[in-house]
Amino acid sequence: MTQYMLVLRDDPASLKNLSPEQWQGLLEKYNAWTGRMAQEGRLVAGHKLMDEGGRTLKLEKGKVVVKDGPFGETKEVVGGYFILKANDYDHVVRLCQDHPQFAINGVVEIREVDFMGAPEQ
Amino acid sequence: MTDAPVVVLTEQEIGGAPPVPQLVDHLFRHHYGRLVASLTRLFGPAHLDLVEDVVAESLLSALKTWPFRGVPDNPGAWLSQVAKNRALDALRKHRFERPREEDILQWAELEDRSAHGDASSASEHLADDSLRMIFTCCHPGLSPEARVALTLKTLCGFSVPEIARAFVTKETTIAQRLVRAKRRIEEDALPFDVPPPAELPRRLDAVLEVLYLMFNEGYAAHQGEDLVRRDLVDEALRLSRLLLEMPATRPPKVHAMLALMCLLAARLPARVDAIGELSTLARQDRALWDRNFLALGMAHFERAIEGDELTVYHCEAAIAACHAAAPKYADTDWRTVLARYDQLLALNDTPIVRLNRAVAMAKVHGAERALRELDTLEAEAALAEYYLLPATRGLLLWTLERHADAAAAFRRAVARPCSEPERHFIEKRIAACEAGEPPIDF
Repeated sequence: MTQYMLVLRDDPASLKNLSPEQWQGLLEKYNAWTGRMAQEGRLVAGHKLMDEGGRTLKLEKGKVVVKDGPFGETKEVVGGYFILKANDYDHVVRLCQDHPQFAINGVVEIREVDFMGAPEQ
Repeated sequence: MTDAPVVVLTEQEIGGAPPVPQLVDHLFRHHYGRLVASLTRLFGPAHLDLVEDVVAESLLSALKTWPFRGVPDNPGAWLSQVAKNRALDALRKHRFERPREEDILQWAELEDRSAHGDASSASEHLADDSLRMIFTCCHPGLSPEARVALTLKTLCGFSVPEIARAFVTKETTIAQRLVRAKRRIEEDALPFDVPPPAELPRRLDAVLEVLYLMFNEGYAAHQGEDLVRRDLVDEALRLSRLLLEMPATRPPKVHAMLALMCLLAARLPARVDAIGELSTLARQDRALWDRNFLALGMAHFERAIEGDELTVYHCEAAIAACHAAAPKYADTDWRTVLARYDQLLALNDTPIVRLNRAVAMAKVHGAERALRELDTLEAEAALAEYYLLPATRGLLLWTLERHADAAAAFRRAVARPCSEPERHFIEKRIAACEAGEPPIDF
């Protein structure tokens, strides 16, 4: 089966206006989703990325310039990722229909992992 | 999904995320209240905003982490650990003299022992923090509205929009109330403690007033969102039970209020009938009343009558107990109910109490007598916009077969502010009176 990376983007500030009860509601949605993926044996990996820090590197006038944080013009940042096993893109799209990321106006970017002919890891 | 083969992987292969356990209901809300209370003891009530930020950040960190690592075995211990680190960060950043670092570490140690259930004294100690917090939030130096808002915000973790929805008030109004209340706490240096014995009775009354207001707002449900309302009832009960933790804060009147709350809460499942319409006490299916709440209410009532102080909660609980004791509405002991209303009136003579008493009066002395009582209430400013005054008049007139007068009274009732279900309910009565239908029990 093919592997896909789900890159999760959202605006961390959007969570701040919700209540503890609403946070728990979101967490329960997450638990249901990841629980199902794990039970179906699709979950290969998943990690949260650190909220603080982060660096963006860029070549400017022949020199590598280091900028703090991953923050660009948009407020959205990558908060974490999952790697899922699925049949094809349509299949992943179906699996993500109820992804909790949408409850906070977040974005899920799906990319197929390219093993370049090597056996899957 | 059925179109994919199910592959069973080991825990390691699936990235350490086995199917996760269900979270306890209101886990976040209750840990929020608990942590805010403890950190307020450490940082002082003047730094409530900072404390709320620290706790909110800790819960947010759980929300961001747990989807990837799973819910920890001991969520409470995990949250306390994060709150400890955030509190230490805040301490270093603001360079406060109080608390000292070791105060925070000592508290965290207590939290850890309590979370792992190996020291009941640790749990008690922490429950005391919530109790102190109740007395700060319900300090008589704050207006009753501010007390309710602050209690819901800090001890129950309600957001401003949630409080606004529960009290059918604008969000900006609630936000302003909270800002003013916090400023007052800081400027007047309101204490964070269970009051000393000399002050306790007055301070406890202020607490009971807030908790009952909270309960009643949820129970009466004139308007607003059902779910939020039910939460108010549950939270009022939870906080009231906290008062039972200490002998000093559980005089008989606390049991009286809890008896009243439990006996009323027992009726909630019967308040709306099968087709979603409001059901009055006379028409409720009593088989739907919550037996556990009834038993709990009666147990509290037993404890309530141990002292010699008679409060409004005693009288109202006694009335609710009369209703709870009647298997059917027709079995109600109205003479006792009326006697309890007379006692209540002696303690708290308000137009609302008189209006409610009029129903018992009609049952014991007849509708004419009750109508004369209602006449005396017509001039009351407090009832000028209250739909239940003309609605009660309508019922009494209908009982006397005065259909046209009854319909007119019901029409006056729907002209006053009331919720959609209530309006619908009264409109059906107008139609019944216009059709000359026989009176219903009230």
